Amino acid sequence: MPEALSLLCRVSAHPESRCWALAWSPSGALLASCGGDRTVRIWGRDGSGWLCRAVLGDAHQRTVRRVSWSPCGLYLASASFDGTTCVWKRQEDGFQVVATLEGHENEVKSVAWAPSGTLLATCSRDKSVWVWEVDDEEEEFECVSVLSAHSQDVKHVVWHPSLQLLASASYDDTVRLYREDEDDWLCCATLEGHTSTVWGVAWERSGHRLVSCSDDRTLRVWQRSEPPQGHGSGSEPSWQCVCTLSGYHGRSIYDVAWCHLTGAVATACGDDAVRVFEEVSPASPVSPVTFGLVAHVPRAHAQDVNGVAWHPREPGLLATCGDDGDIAFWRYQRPDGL
Amino acid sequence: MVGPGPAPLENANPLIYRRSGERPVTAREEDDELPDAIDDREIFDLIRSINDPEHPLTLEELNVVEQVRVKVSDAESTVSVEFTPTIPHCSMATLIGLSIKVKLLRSLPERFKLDVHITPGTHVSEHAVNKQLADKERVAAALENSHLLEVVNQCLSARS
Repeated sequence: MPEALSLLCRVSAHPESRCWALAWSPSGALLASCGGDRTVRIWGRDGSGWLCRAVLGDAHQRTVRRVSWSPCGLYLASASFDGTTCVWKRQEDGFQVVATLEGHENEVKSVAWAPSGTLLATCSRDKSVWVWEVDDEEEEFECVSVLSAHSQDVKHVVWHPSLQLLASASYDDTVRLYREDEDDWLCCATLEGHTSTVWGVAWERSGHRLVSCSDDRTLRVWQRSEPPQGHGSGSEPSWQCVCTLSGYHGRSIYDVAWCHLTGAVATACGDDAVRVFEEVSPASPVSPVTFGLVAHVPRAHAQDVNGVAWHPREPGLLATCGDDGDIAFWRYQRPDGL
Repeated sequence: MVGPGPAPLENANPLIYRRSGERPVTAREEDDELPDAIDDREIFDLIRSINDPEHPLTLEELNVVEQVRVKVSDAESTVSVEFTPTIPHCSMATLIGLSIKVKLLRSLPERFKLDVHITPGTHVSEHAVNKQLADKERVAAALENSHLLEVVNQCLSARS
C-alpha cells in the first residue's frame, strides 16, 4: 500500500514521558495533548509545522490520561490519575482552571463533552461513569447521575455525535450505552463480544454505528437496529456486531477514530503501527458489512501508539501520539479503486 | 495490590533451589567490535536476584523464575517471562509480576515489548493477574502510587 499515509511532521510533545491522548478543538485550529508528565499542551500551526502554544502544568498531581474540548471550543476538560477532572477556560493570555470536578474514588480515565455542550461525562477505575450538568453562565458543574453498570475499570467515554446518548468501554470487556430517562440516566444497551479490555469507542458520523477497539487485538463494528414494530413503547433499539476485524493488529489496540468527513477508521496499536481501514462497498444489499485495510505504517512511533485523532475540518489530516512522547501528523490519501 | 502490615507467612516452609553460577563469557562477547544481542540468560540475570516480598530469598532460590521460562527475540524486540508462584493461592503474585516488569522496564532499551505472565496452571487467579500485568495503564497508575513503588523498590534492591 504505497503512501496512503504519509508523514507531514513529528514533534517531541511530552519528552521523557509518554503522550496518552490527543483532541482537536472543534474548529481544528488547536490540538490538545496530555501525558505522563502531568501536563496538557496546546499545539497550533506554524507554517508547515506545529508549535506549542501553552503548557497547562499546574493543576494535576498525576498523569493526565484524556482531554476533551467543549463544542464551543471555549473550554477544555482534562481527566487525571489524581482522581480529578479539571475544566480550563481559554483566555486571551492562556488557559485557566475554572472548575475541578471531584468525587471519583480513584484514577479518572476519560472525559467527554456532549454535543449540546450542556453535559459532561467522566469515568474511572472505580468502575463508575458520572454524568455532570454544565451551567456555563456560572461555570458550575453538578453531578446528575452515577452509573455503575460496569463491573470493572472504565477506560473510555464518548457521546453520540448528535443525541444525548453516551457510550463507555471497560476492562470488563463490554461497551455500554446510556440515555436519559425521566430525571435519571440508565444503561440502555450492553455490547458483548470482545474477549478482553475494550480500550476505546468511536461513533460514525450518522450515529447509527460505532466501532470499538480492544486488548483482544480486534476491532468490532456495532450497528443499531430499531425494535420491531408493534412492540410496546418500552422496547429499546438493539445493537449488533456486524463486523469483526481480526488478524490485522499485532498487540493491544489502544485507540480508534472514525473520521466524520471521509468515513476512514484509524487505529493506535501497541505494536507501534498506525493503520487505516475503509468500508468496502457491498456487492449487493444483503452482503455483510466489510472493512479493508488501506494504510499501514509499521513503525509509526518508536513505541506503543496510544492515540489517533482525525482533524474535524480538513479531510485526511491525522494526528497520532505514543509512549515515545511524540505527536506525528499524517496526510491520508484514499487509495484509488475503492 | 498490596495489603497493609505484617501478616502470617502464606508459605512458611518454601522449597529452596540452588542458584545458578556466573554466566560463562565467550570469546565473541569479549570482542568489543562485535554487537551482542540480548539473550535469555541476560534477561534471567536481570530478574533472578529480585527479592521475594515474603522471604529473605531471591526469586531464583524459590524457583519463581527460571531461565527456561525466559524467551527473548532481540531482532523482534520482544521479551516474554513466565513466573511460577510458590503456592497457587499466593496473594503476592501480582506484586512479584510487577517487580519483574519494573526491573525489565528500567533495564532494557525502550524498544522492547515486555510480556510477564504466570506459568500456565500454577495459580488460581492466573487470568486476572495476567490481565492486570498486561494493562500498561494500570501499571503506570500503580507506579505513581508511592507506597506501592516503595514495596517494589524493596524487592528490586540488592541485599547487603
